Amino acid sequence: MQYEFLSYFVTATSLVFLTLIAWFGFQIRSNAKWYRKARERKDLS
Amino acid sequence: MFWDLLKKEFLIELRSKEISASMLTFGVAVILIFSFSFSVSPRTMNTFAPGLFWVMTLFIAVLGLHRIYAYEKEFDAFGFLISAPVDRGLIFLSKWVSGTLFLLVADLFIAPPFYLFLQLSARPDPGMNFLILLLGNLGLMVLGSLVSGLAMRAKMSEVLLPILLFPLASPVMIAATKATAALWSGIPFRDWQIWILILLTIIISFGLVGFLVFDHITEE
Amino acid sequence: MFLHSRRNQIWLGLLILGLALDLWIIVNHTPMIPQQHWAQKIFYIHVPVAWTAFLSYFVVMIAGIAYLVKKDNRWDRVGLAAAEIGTVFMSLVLVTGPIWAKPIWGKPWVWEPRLTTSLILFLIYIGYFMLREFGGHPERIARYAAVLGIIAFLDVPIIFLSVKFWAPEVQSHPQVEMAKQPTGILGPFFYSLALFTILYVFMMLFRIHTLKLKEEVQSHAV
Repeated sequence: MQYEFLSYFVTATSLVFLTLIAWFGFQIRSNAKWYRKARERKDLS
Repeated sequence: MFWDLLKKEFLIELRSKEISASMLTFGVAVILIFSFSFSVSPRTMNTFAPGLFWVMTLFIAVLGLHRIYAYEKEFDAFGFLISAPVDRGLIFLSKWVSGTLFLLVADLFIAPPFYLFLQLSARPDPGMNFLILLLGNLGLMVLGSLVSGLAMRAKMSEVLLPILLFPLASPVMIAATKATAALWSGIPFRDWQIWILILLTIIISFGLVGFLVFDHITEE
Repeated sequence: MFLHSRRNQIWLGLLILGLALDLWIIVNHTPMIPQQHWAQKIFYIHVPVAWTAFLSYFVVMIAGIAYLVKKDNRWDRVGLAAAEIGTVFMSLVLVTGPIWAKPIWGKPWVWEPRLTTSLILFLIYIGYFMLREFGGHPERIARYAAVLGIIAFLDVPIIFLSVKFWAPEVQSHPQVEMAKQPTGILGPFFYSLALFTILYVFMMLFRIHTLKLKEEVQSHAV
């Protein structure tokens, strides 16, 4: 009885946290990309 | 100034009859499709009818909005209009009022065939029915005019308009359908006055917002 | 880079620790509600996520007003970042809500005012991003997005009320239920709520930082 609906909880919680991790992953990549481009521009000028 | 703008909308429409003609024929075509798609008993049809009517009105409204703003786009008439020394809020009001009137006229013409083809039996109070129709159309058009202003000059404006308008107008649809259904089934007014209040809230608040922000929409 | 700053690294570390602690508390130290069991615990996550989503769309409106008044691009960036993050959270609301509803109500979708309002707002924001994509001139897009953000949030109370009166039989919604529950729920709940709010602020700062870099690069590329 103690484990009733446990799968629902695990699904919902992991979806939320995986989404957040994915968001941060994308942001770190995107941030690095534009940072690199901004620095390239400064090097040129 | 407001009356001049309104007169302009009506003059154009009287000459071309584009908006009313397209709204009317489209409306009748929708009724035909409804009659064929829902072959149900007359009793069931009576409970469906208010929703169907407002779905049809929403479709007609989108069609009309396309035409109302399409002729502004041709020859960049809108650019000239907003470069004229007119308060842009008044442009919004004239679009809203004229759009509502076109929609109202189309609805009034479509109502008899709608009633006849769907074999409805309700006998609602005409004055009350007209009030709901007027408020519902005002509510649809206040959001419609605002959203058309936003979508008009975008790429894919014909897709963007319904995508933005349908979710925004969902409270109008709920309120208008509920009020119509309650009236048609003879429920006393005090039990469904909330829907009239919701419609009035939408009309007043978005009318005010539209008047205030249309300046920013039309700005070049 | 945003994460080069020592201060941001510390914040990120604290947030990860805080979220781990949040999860641990929810799993081990919240009371089991009879009949609902683990399904009820979804709410320590679902409600803060929903709160963050609505907060974020509120920020879009505020940024929109500020942009229209000041015509400063900074507010456009705030609005865009809030719209994006709000939509991420809103999609999580729309996924976790039905997951909770299935065991509790027996069916995944009920036309409950909060859930319905979330869905409608989500759809409006799909349109918002399409408008941003197809709007044309960047300065015009910023203005249009600001206007749409204002209209969208003003619609929230009206949508909520009309759905509430439309389906009055649907009564059970989470927050009232939680307030009625025995002690031991509110503490973890508010911890989770506060944590997600801080997480939201951090995500906003991160996204705005990237958008600013992007704009700087693009404004100089000829």
